[in-house]
Amino acid sequence: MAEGRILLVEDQREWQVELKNLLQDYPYSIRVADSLQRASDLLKDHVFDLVLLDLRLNDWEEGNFGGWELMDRLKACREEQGTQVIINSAYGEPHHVREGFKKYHIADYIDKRRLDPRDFQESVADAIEKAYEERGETLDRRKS
Amino acid sequence: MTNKPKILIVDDESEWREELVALLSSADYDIEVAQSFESAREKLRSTRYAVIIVDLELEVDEGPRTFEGFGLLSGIQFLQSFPVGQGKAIVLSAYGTPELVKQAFKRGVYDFLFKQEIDRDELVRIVQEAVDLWVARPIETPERQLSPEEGNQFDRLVHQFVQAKGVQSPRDLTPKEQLEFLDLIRRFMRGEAITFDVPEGAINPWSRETSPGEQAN
Repeated sequence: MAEGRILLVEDQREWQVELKNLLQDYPYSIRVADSLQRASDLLKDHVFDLVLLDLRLNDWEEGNFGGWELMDRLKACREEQGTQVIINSAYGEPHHVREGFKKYHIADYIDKRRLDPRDFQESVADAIEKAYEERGETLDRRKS
Repeated sequence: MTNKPKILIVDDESEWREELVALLSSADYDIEVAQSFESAREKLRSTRYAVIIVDLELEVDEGPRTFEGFGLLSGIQFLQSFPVGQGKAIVLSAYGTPELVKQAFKRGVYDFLFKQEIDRDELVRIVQEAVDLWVARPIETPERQLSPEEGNQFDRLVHQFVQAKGVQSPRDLTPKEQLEFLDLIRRFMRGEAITFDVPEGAINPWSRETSPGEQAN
């Protein structure tokens, strides 16, 4: 039984593989969305404890921060289901980080260019625990 | 004694201190300034502020300039976890990398503003928001200021208490221990002498830390 339901919003295949690998020893179920549309569809039909969000979908478009368009939707998910958000980005703007924490109360911001596996795993585990807490449930944290 | 909300401005550059004092003087605040880590720390230990505006990069006597403001943010966050409390910190910084902004919010700041693109009306509005939060805070605490000596005693007391419970910070206490802790604080604020029989230890909430992985140039 998965103890953490994760939605990974990431359009680059290498990052999908890398991040999933980092979480493979944990009791999580991970769904991947490679576009905003796919992410929106999955959010409609499923409850997630955590959304790992790459801000820059469609990487070939410079200055594209399409992932940001999901933030209002994710805020509603949090209010309804406790869903937490961690932003993963290689191109984060200070303004996004500020607004992410202040307005959207993201659980964390992770710079993909200096990804530390242990920090990442801890951050994910903390966020999932927080999702449980916000729903008033308790989670026995353990690695499988 | 005045009941105006107290604001502390921590910045090593006099132009910014003066500018901020001028900006905020239109509202009815009691404004104090500090230009170094040490003087800010002393003030924070003995006085409760509604808002503390912190520049991250503070001048030090020797050595490279570092982001000492982070040490203050950690100290403020530590004090916020007590019933006696401390108001919200707002960072006003010339540096604003994503990592710095993240590290500041992880220390519980209310906002992070960038000096280069400061919007003065916005700053005044955000300070007022944070003041409103302080005024509306739910916990009733004794309305008196601690003397510097009492501030030191208070620090030691808290330090010893969390050590005795084997945790890092009052936030890690169990609900039962928190009640015990609240009672202890009340007794302290009433002026009772409180002693602890625990070994001297290593936790120092006021470490002069700088942000991990970031150095000022």
